[in-house]
Amino acid sequence: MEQPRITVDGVSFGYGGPPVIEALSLEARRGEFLAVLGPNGCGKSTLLKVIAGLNRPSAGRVLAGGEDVSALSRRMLARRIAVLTQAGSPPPNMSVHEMIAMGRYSHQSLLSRRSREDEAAVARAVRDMQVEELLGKRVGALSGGQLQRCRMAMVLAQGSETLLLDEPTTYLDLKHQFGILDCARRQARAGRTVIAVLHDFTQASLYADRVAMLSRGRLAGLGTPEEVLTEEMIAAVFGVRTRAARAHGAVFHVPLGAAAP
Amino acid sequence: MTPGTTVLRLGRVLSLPVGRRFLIVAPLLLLALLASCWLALAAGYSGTRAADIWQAVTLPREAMEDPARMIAGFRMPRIVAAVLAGSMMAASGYLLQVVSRNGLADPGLLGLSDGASVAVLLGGALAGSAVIAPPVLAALALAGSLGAALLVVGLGRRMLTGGGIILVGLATSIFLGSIVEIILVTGSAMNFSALMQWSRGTLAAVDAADARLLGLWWLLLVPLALGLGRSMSPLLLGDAEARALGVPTRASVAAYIILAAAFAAPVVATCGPVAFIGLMASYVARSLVGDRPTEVLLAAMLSGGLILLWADTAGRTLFGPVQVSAGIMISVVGVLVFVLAARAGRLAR
Repeated sequence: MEQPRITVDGVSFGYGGPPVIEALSLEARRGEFLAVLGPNGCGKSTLLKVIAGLNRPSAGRVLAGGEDVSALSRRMLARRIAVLTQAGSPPPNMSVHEMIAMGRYSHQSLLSRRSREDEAAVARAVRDMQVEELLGKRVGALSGGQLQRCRMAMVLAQGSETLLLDEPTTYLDLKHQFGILDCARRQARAGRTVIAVLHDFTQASLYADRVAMLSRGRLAGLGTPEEVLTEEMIAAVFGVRTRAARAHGAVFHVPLGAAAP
Repeated sequence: MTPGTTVLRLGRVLSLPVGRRFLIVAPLLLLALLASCWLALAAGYSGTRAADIWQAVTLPREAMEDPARMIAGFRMPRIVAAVLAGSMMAASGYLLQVVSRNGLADPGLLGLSDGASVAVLLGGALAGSAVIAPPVLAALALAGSLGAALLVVGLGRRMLTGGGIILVGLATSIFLGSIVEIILVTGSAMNFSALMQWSRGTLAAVDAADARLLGLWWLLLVPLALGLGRSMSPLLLGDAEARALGVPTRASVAAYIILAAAFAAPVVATCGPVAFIGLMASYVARSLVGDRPTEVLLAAMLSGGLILLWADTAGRTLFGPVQVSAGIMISVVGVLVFVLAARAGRLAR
């Protein structure tokens, strides 16, 4: 059986206080789109940071391609895992092209700072996110949604086999929400692994192969969207009564009100 | 395909993106610097002929006539030192700005200059009336500014990659600054007025040995800065972003702070803690060439050299026979220019 691309093995993590994530284990495979869902503050973003090696777990370990993430240099890790962080604030004077090209940092060296491969990867990422017309602008002149798409292009240019996307649809209008999700799914179908924090159940059910439901730092459910996105699960995890419906391959939840405590 | 950028290539080994604006601005700045050096060589009490300057620049010392020898012996080292010191303070300031992601950082602000000052003054007090050789003085200054850098990094290690480091630096700077004051006032210190002048930054006492010392440090540090400078761009995006892109941010930030200290140290040792150059030069450079860090660093160094050279030349010629030290000239003129530039920038936006 093929080795999982990302293995989270009994990981706990806390920011100096009580644990935000506790004894959490999951795997993500080549070509898979895994959505991470859960209420605010349940540890979704923290989990992504632990996988990316940005937070060092207090217990357990994270493997990328079978190797312990904490044993890899930042550079080698960046070649395997790219991260779309939640709130980036690039300097307003920086040119959009410059920012996207920075995705290539881990492939560059002292003398080779813009190889043909770099340029090809950047051009591909720019096409994928359809940000051609923004290239000549300064970052400060972009709207929130435009900036988000350009940051996604930077992450794609990195060319890593695993993409961690923390709320990629934030700031985006409906069209561009689906644009970025379509792009993420294309990446997965092309053999990459996508782990994305999402908020919308319908989007998760449309795009994700599997869904990981987090509740208070623990895994409340893991499986196909059909298996995980049930009325019982939403009531238990989010405290909201819903009626689930299925159409066009998607799971819809119509909220009915707060669940009885 | 890149707007405004040309890529220099040499096979598969070398590929460097260079902004077109930089390709225009950098030679112009260099030209302005050379022209300013010529003007500065010509400026002084005794009327100077172009032929004298030409002799002073091109001939060996023995073959010069007297006026040329005067220029080569006194004005030239001072001018060379001004250009080198200005560019080094600019480099120090810009590195600190990248590290702190704050366009107002300056070696004076993070306590580096003050650390160097304290070390030099303590050294002077301990040596009593004995004269300390310039290399020893530079070593003292380096120890002082590195000490201050380590103190700042150590105290602020949890805020290393945020703006918090600036606050720690400011506190350190105020603390060390008051130690400087204490030494200056209580110091039965041999010549109070000379020390006082030095503590504001001046090139009046600079000689050929000082210029050589600055040159050596410059040759050592500039390649280092350009080599290590690759991770400056990602650092501008923020700590988590830079790490996700493959930058070991803690190591990079520590390296840049040490480098900034090393740039400031020989300048403080020879010319005193000249303030504001780092801040002004980086500001000018950013508005001239944009935001690609290596280019800003180089443009800031050229601008810093220009600023200190003009400040010193104006200070020694405008008010003759009185010489106003470069540090004071920069504080007066520089701050005015800076306020005007900041206003213009805001109006244009």
